[in-house]
Amino acid sequence: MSEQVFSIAERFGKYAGPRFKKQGAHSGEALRGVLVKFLEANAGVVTIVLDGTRGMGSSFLDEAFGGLVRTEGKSRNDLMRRLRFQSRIDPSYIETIIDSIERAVPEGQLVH
Amino acid sequence: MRVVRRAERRLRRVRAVVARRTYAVGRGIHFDPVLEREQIILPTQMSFSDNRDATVDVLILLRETALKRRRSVMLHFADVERIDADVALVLVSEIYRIRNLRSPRSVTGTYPRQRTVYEQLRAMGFYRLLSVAEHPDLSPERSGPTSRVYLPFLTGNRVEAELVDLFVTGVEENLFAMNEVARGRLVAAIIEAMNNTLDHAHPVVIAGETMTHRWWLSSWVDIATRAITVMLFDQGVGIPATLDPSLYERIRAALQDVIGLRSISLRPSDGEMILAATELHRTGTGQSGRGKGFLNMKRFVDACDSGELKVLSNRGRYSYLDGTESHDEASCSIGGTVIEWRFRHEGKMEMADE
Repeated sequence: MSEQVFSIAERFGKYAGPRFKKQGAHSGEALRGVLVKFLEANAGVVTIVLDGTRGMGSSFLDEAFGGLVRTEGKSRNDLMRRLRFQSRIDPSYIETIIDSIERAVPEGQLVH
Repeated sequence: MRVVRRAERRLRRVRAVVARRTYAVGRGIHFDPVLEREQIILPTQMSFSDNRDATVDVLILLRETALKRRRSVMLHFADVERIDADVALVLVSEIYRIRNLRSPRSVTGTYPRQRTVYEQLRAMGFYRLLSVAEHPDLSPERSGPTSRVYLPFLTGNRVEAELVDLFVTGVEENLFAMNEVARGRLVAAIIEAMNNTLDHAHPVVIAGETMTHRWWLSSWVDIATRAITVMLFDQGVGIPATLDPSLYERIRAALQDVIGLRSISLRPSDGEMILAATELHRTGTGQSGRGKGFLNMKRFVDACDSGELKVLSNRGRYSYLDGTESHDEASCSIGGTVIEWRFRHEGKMEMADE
């Protein structure tokens, strides 16, 4: 199966805004919606390209990727198996995303 | 009988006006003939750093008089000789809130006598934002050379990513160039600070007193040093009040990492809570916390030739300067959170992708 590429700048936009849709345009929640559709339409490994945006805050990234576990109920292991990340300019984004996925707790469960 | 009572009332009014006029003339302040208005005289030095108690006291008085006691207010600027930009930001937001929650006429004021103070407030957009006419005799053409350039106040209740990007482009074009890592982190840090206002600042809404999820932004450049200061304010419950008490052990652990076991109190002060918030990267629900945004800000300051991150929240004060953190606590709360970020750099700023 061929590897699919999802560029945030090309498929979502170069601006990255707040966490939630109600907080403004270009939100992490909106990106998550686009991502979910892409993941459902494309089985197998997906490479997320992070370069090309104008700067992404941790709340934006957390809601987009941590939200896949917290809100969409995706399994952490499945996400870690399917997603690859590419950021030639600022690899700290990758660190933030992986941290978000690893620490996200599905809604309804408590953190200890 | 009714005629006598009416005459007595009129006499009391006349006496009150005379007393107020005598008071105003004696103090050299503007005479306000409206008896129902509470008169608030602003201190000569309005500064959170050098005259914090008097400055905070007058902000609290304004808030309580206008919002809790529902009285109209006349603010006397006549004696003000200095107003720091962060105080002006808090003050304009307070007046804006009162006018929006009550009526545009609920707060009015006099012009400052000091031309420099007037000019600063005018340049910051104080009068424009509050729809107050600028002083006809103090036009900008008549003022001398200025040492600071101000970005007029901006306010909003949504995160404006494109606006932040535009602001950073302005910094690049006018102050110093940045590589892509530095640029991205500057944009991300400002967006994150705005987002925190929306995510954390207003867990409870008090009717008639709260304008929820509203941030206030201002910025100024010192022409001589080419240092830029960015300030963001919200009227929320403050960082110390938004840290989950169940995270207390984590807060203590974070404090231990930063300041060592010796100085940790059993009940953390507001200053310690801000310090802890800058270290906590997760909330109780597993969402990313404020710490990531602060980390971005600190990294950016570290990469500049010089800079400082300052946070005032409730009674606490926190500073990150030259890699050193400090904090303290005052007796009164400023009624929200000011994040103030100052930096200066010569040449192109290069941040490593660590």
